[in-house]
Amino acid sequence: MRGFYSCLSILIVWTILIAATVFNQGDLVFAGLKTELIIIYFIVTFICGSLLSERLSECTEQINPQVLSKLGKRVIIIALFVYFFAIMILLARVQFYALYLDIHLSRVQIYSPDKNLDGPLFSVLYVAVLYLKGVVAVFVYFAFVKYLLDGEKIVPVIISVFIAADALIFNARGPIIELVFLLFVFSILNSNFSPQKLLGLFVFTCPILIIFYLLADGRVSDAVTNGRGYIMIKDLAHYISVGPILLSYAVDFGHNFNGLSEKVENLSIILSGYDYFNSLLLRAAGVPAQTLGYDWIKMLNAPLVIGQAQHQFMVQTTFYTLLAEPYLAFGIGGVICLGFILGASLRTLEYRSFFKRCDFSLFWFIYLFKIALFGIFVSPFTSVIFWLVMIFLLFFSQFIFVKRDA
Amino acid sequence: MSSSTYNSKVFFLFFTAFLSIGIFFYSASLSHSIDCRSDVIYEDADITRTDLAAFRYSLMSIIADGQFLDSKIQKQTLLVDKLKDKVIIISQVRFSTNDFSFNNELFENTLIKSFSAHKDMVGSRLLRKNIQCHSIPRWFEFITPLMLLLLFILYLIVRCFIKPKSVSS
Repeated sequence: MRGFYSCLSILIVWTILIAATVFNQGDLVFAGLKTELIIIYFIVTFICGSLLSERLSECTEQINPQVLSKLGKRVIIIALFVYFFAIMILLARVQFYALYLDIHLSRVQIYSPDKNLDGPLFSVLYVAVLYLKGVVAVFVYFAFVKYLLDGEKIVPVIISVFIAADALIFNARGPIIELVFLLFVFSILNSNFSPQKLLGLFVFTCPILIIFYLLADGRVSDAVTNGRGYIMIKDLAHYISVGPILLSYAVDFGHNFNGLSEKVENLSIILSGYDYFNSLLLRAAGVPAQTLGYDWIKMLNAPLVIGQAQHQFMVQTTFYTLLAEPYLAFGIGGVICLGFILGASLRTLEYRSFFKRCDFSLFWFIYLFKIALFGIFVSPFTSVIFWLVMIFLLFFSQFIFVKRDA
Repeated sequence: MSSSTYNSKVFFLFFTAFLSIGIFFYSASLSHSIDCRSDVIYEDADITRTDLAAFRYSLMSIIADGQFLDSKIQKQTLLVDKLKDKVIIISQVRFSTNDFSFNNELFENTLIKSFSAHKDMVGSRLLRKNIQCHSIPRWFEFITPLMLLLLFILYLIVRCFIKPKSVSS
């Protein structure tokens, strides 16, 4: 099974997603037929891609693995420092408002600056710090797994502390989930790993997590009243269904967004993150630029009704899944290509990371695995950070990774 | 072929076969389905949340009966909420029909009729309605993933269980 663990994890996650989508009804808006078909197409082409990648692995067998260069190691150290200072700046801002102005910032206010509160210049700088933190985080995560695989423990422990601090400042569970994800990546690339050990770990930790969840949410009495696990399973199904519901708004119901529908294919949508970044740069320079990508991202932030709880509408934003932009840009062909490319590359990268100890493959494996796994919620195409990382690696990848001598 | 690769192929064979069966039943049950969604806004300032819950319940039972559509209801969602002085109803129905002359107007009229039946209870004026139905996906859109999976099952069987004959010199 070596080389297939990542594909297997993604298949399990996406199969749960399609099951939740197909059986969802009642209190939640259900996704349309086209949305369900798009997800099925993605899963099927992902399987095809991962199986056919065996041929790709044979072709890349002779290619020498690439390892971190001296410059690459310096980049990792710089990334660690930048990550640390970015977290300190965020913490300083939160504490400044809390202690001096008695304003307790919400998570949204921490994620994005307020021009009225911060002033225009600091707002621009703050956005730059947030983006920089996002870009260096990719290298920090790579360093975490790489050093763990190399048997070094100090750097991973330091990174864990940084990530925990990040989670506390933002009051977000995202960084902690990412840390768990990194540990999972490490475990499947570890030579001592076996599915039996993972299953044992799962069986051991699952009841603890369930009890923690029930206690933390104060749902123990509800669970007892409505039956064991009733609330939790329903909550989980609701949580998972959000992505397909919002995807369905874009695919089935039509947003009437700039006249864009499934019939009008527009390449700009796939580059929306990059487009948004350009618009931000121009806006920072005082030019009121408004592009299609900018409009698309603004529209993703518009709240939409996804269901009803306690007689009130539930609204949600941004969770349009990984498939929204490829579909809107290229139609069903975009989803098929994406599934195939992700399946083939993940299998090849995991294989090369494990058997060849190729750092270049490891870097891309972690990044693409994360994109595909969390793709049930978010898309990288609308992320400025994704495009910044791509541009950075396009120019500097050849200096960061060098071929190991045969 | 190493045992690890062999195991992974056998595993994928089972997974793909399982998925194929699921997709087959999915395609068979939905090949004549239509999704309709209606967003209706009523004007009302006095309606209470209890009234809304009762309204939702009775409307849901009417749609669930499926009598007014003469079709089998496969899925339904009904959301009712009051925002400021407006009652917003979002209703979604997926039903199976053999009537290929089906048009959106038919559904629109029947649904509005069912809403209007409760007008007295709600005591309100219809402000806006937006109803849209989606046509049945084309047959090849349903069948393509299944065919693709079956093709790969065949590929896996050939790769796993049929060994090439050795060529003797």
